[in-house]
Parts: sequence; C-alpha cells; structure tokens
Amino acid sequence: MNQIQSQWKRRALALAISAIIAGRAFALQPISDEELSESVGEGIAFLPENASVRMNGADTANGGAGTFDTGYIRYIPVGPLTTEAASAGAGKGDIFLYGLAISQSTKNHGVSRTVADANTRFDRTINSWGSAENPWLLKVETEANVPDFAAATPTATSNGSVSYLALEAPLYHKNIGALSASEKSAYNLKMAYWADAFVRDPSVVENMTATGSQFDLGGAGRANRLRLQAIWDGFSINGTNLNIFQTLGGASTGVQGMSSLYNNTLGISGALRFNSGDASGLRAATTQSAPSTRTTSAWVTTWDGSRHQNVTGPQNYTDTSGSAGGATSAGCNANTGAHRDGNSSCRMQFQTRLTTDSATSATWTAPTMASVFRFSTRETTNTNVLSTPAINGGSAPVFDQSEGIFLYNLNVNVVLGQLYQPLVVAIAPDGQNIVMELARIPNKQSIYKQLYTNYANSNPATNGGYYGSTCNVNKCGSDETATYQGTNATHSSITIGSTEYTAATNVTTAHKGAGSIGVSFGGLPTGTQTATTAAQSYRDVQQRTRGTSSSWGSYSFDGWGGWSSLAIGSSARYNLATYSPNTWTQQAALSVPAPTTIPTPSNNLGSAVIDGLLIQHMKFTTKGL
Amino acid sequence: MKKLTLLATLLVCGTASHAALEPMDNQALQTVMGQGGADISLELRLNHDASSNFVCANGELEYCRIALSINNRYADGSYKDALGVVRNSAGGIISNVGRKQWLVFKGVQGTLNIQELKIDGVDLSYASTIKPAIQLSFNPLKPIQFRNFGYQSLSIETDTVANEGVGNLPGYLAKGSGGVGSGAYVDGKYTATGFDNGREVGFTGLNIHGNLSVAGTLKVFSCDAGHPRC
Repeated sequence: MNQIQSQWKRRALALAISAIIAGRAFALQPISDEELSESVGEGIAFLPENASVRMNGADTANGGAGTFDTGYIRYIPVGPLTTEAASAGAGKGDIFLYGLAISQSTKNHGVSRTVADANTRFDRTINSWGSAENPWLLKVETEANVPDFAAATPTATSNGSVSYLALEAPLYHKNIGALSASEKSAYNLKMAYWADAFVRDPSVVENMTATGSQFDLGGAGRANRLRLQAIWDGFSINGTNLNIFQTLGGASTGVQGMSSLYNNTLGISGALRFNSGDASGLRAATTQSAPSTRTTSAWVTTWDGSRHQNVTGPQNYTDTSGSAGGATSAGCNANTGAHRDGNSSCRMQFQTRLTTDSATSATWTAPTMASVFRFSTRETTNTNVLSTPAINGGSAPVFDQSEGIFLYNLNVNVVLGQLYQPLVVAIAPDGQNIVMELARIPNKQSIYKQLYTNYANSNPATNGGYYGSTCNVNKCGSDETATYQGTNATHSSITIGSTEYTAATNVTTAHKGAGSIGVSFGGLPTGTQTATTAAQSYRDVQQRTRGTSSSWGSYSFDGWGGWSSLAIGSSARYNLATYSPNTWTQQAALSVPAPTTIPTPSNNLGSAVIDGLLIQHMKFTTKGL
Repeated sequence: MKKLTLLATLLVCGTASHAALEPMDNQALQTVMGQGGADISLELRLNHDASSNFVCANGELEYCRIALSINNRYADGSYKDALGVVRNSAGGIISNVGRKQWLVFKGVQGTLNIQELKIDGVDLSYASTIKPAIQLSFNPLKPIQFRNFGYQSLSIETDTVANEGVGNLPGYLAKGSGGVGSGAYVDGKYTATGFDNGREVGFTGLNIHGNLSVAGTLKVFSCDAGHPRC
C-alpha cells in the first residue's frame, strides 16, 4: 500500500506485555495511564520455533500423539441433491480430509528432492518460522486517502480512511541463500494431507461405526471412493498477508456495473504467496553433438578383370546378381557363370565404395529439483475400496511413490483485492446462496491507475501515474526494506517449473528450451539420460563388362561398358583362398539420419506460466443450496 | 500450574515465622530464582457432555447455533452508509433497512482439550534490542484434542420483519417448514428418509475430529515502533 501517499496513523495497542517490559528486573508494577500512552505497540508479533503441526487420530497411540495422519476434517454433505443431480444418478459427496500436516522437509533448503521425499507427509520441525526481526504479525493499521467507489466522473477523487486488521506472515527475504540454516527452514516447508471422498447414497442413514451400504450407490461394493494425497515439499508462505476491514461506500447498483453490496460491509484483501524459489536458473543440462555427417569414399576397383585370362580352375569371382546392367558387348551375355574363368571371352570389373554416417549423441541431466508439489491417488496399503479410518479405524495409507502428477518449483503469488477493491461476501437474490465477489474496478482514475501496469516504464512519476505491478517470486511491489520484498503489488503470477525473468519489466515467461522442466506425470528421473544415433554405413558395388572380339585367331578388346550397380543383396565374391576381403555385397542406400533428439524424459511436460494476472471483477455464486 | 504452586508454597514457607503473608520488595524478589513458568491445561466443551456427545434437545436445536451477520446485508439490498444514513441499493435515502440476513451455523458443538501448554517468559533479541516475550511451548505427545468439533449444517436465514421490527423472528432462530420431495422440511429439519432425515436445514457441515499434535514454541511479543516491521 506504499503507493498511496498515505500517512500511517499509528494506533497504540497497549499490551499487557508492556508491563513485563517495565518490570523485567523488578517486581511487576502497575503502569500509569501516562506511561501507557507512551507505549507505541503497533501489534502483536509471533515467532514459532522448532514448530510442526500434524493432525493425528483421536487416540493415544504413538506415545500419546495419536495414530499418525488419521485425524480428520469432514465436510458433511447435508441437504438434498438438485433435481438434475438426482435424476443423473449422483450421490452426495462425503469428504474426509485427513492428516493435515505442516513441517520441514527432510532435505535441507535447496537440495534436490527424490520421489521418496514427495511421498512422506511429515518430516521434521521448522527451526525458525521467521525471525525476531521478521516475525508473524497481527496488527491494526489505518490507511488514509483510500479511494472509495463513487465515480461520478473518472477524475473523481473522493476517498476515506480504512482501518484494517492485518495478519502477516514473515516477509520474503531477497537473498535466501545468505540466511542462516535455521532461517532457511521457513523456505523449506512441507505441507501434506490426504483425503477420502465417497459417493454417498442419500437414501441410507449415516453410520460412523461400520461401512454398511451407505456408499453402495449404483451397486453393492462399488469402488465409490476417491483417495487422494497432496504433498508439497520445499516451499514458503513468506510475504503472505490477509487484511480484514470495513469497505468504503459510494457504489450504487446499476451504475457503471457497480453494486451497493460493496458499500460499508466486511471487506477482505490480501496477497497469497506460496513460493518454491526462483526458477529462472532451473534447467535440465542438455548436450547434443553436431548433426550427423555423411562421408562417401572414392570408388575403389576391387577386381580389374585382368586375371580372368590364363587362370583356370577355381573361380575367381562370382556375381550372384547376374550381369544385369553390364555392357552387352559381344561375348558378354547375361550368363555370368560363363565369365568365371579364363576361357571366357568377357571381362568384368568391379568397384566399390563405402558411405559412412557419423554417430550423434545427446544427453539430458536432471537439474536440482528443490521443490515438488505432488498429487497422487494410488495407495499401496489399506486398499479396501470402501473403508476409511474415520469409520473403520486403522492407519493412514501409504501411497505409491512412482505415481501421480508432479509440479516442480511451483510459485503461486495471488493478489486478492485491495483496500479499494475488496473481496466481499454477499447473499444471492434467492436468499439461499452465497456470493463471493471481488469488487469491479470502477471507472475512476484514482483506483485504476493504482491497479494498471505500464510495463514499459515502471516509474509512476514518468509513466502517466500507473502504479500497478506484478507479484512474483522475484519481486512483489515496492521493496519493504533493502532486505525484504514488498507486498503491495496488484497483479498475480503463477509459474510451474523453468522460467525466464526480465527484471527491467518484471515479466516472467516460461522457459521453452530443451532443458525446461515443470509438470510431469510420475517423478522426473534423476541423473543423466543418454541417447545416441548409431553410426551407420552401406556399400555400393558396381560392375561393368567388356567383351572381346576375335578375328582370324587374334583377340581384341571391346571398350568397357558403363558401370551399373548390383542388385541389392547380391554380392561379388572372389577366390576365397586368395582374396581378402572376398565378398562385396550391394547394400540398400540409407537415408541420412536425423540428429539425435535430446532424451527428455517422456513424462516431462515442461513448464507453464500465468503472469500479470489482474482480477478486474470476479464473482462466485453457489447454486442449488 | 505446578511451578507456580511450588513457588507459592516456598513463599509461604519463607514467611512461616510471621503471622501473615507480606509483600516482597524488589530486592527480595530479585533473589528468587524461580522461572515463573506455568503449565496450563484447558478443556472447552460446547454443547457436549463429558463423552463428547451432542446434548442439545431435539426440539430446541435452534438454541445450539452461532450466527454471523455481516454488516449491511439486508434482503432488499439496503444499507447504512458510513454516516449511518439508510439507503436503498440505488443510493436513494430511505427510512429503514430491510430484513437482516444471517449466516447460521447450526448444530454447533465440540470438545477442545488443550492438554498441556507451558507459558514462560524469555528474552528475544534483534539488532541491539533485547525484548521480553511470552513463550508458549507445546508438547507433541500431549496433542490438542478436537472431538467432533464443528457444526452440522450451514445456511443463510433471513429475519421475518424489516429493521428488526416488532414481531421479528431473527434469522438465527429460523425453524420453518417447506420444501418438496427430498428437500421437504418441517420445524427446520429435513423429513425425507435417509441421510438428511432429522438434520437441520442447510448445506455442508464441518466436523473436526482428531489430535492436533503441535511441536515447538511460540514467542509472542509486542511489535512497537522500534521494530523494523512496525
């Protein structure tokens, strides 16, 4: 809220603690009104240390702590189904949310997670959730000059003061790496829960001691249960805040789309920040050798045809292909068998050459994956499809660590309203349903210039007076101090996996390169994946012939015919005892191999980013209550 | 409370030769080395008996509710502005607000048992400041017990008379009849057989049941102008 040139009215909250301050070394003494008025308690600060929370079963197992992870929060499905739902054969949704737990990851901050890490629901305590300088806060403040909803003209400047109760998590540190190991624990949280959701038969009375037939909608023993586990290993909620206040007035229903329901009622605003850490360096390392190259040797004459004469006995060569393609000069007919020995009147030459493609290779090496958010549904224990600890007792299930959807390095920064654009709760015109509405932005400069962003120039003094900016893991409005990020941005940003961040414009986009990671089904493999294209080669073999002519007892050579390739698969063979190599086979020509692609794991769906999201107006209305 | 009791006992012993307890001066108090901590246990029962069973009589369930009325939520859209002037939804001045609307939590109940909570005073330091803080300590083996804590159904109810006038039945006591088929209700309770039968009219209830095992300490201190965040 620094954007509005407000002067904070410091409200003194006289705390009983003041008495302790005064009397630390002395006996407790009453504090006079005069002294009390001098105390400037702004709020109450909280610092949890070595903390963890875990919802266990309502019993005395595990030394009194209760059966792990079987305490529950149940959403009781009261009320009739809608006509449409009932006629479609739907049942009631009966949801048990089990084992809500907040702890610290077993891995240290910044260390890569394994699929096993993303399958444990509770690890160790959080050393220091914040610090003495940067604690949790519950405080009341007043902000002056907050624009109200009245917008007779766009230049209207009517405004008022808003006092608000704020709950603030510790601020987000700008250099987490420099923090002590203890303080890093606040950026290394683990949150987990698991849930059973049943399809309940509305015609059967509830029974919380035995399964019976209450979940048998559609047939006895049907698997009418969804079992789900959610675990986020390695994140922080620093920078989150929530404000509760009474809204200002000035809105009239039907005027510029506004609603009088915004006026002078309970308003909520806040920033919800769940960050795994900057992902602009999150890249799988990839290598790829140069594209495949093809080399073809010069033709080598392997049989020059000169030895057919005066050589008798074992054949010197064989062309298993026949002489197809050879010259049809006199004496060289198609019968190659006739050319085998010295009495042939035909001479035959062979030449061959080798074409070689070089091999290529590529690698994909997993980066340090220091945070993963995972949903999974396949349990490996307690697999009875209709039982749940709330009804049947027993322990919490273990889930299959290899299954589920994994979101690596998830950063969620959602700006939910402002003091001048509150979230209000209302009741639908039917008097039965609930409406949650984030107020529409009025056509009022003093409001929309607070919200809209000039990406090209972030300085309101020179950009036309626009204060809007995006809250992301790197920045969230004006920095609170040199050490901590701010909390007063107006636009939201949600990123999964590898990103690219441009500090000058505060814009985050998804990294689109081969090293991008983010969403995957099943955990990404660790280590290096390698792929190669095998080296390949093939051989051409050609032949040509020439005949001889005789005239009056003397021979003379005809000219050589043209070279022609042997048929694929046929060979020219030579005297096995004399020549080595002695076989040349015509091979099919191969196409030039494509370069080897980066062996990205097949379950890696890459990164995703939603950035610069401003909620202009949002309204949820429940139906059918 | 054991430590406090022990301290009190010691103080009594120390003054045994005197006829009555006398106040100690600062000097004397400074010689006492007691830590001054306290162990607290707290059990809260809301519409529950000792066995965590719901105790509200079936015919008087309307008295086991908690209702919230958000400021300026009236059935006709009227509201009071910051100056207390009553206006209709279009902004015109009228004389009375409409019928008040309530968010009613029905069948509110629960047992909450904080088995052990230690309270101590400790020093906390930041920069060059040393600050006293209250330290709350939790024992994970003595969890906070939630037993059937929550509400059975939630509904929106409306007053019967505008401006909470004469003869108004407040929304939080609503116990009407109506509905048809599986949604039929009489005396504020569903009548169709099955899961909803006998439950108060509304939608999703909430029930928390388990042991909230909390570990660690919570330091609570004032955040004054000398603190970087305040």
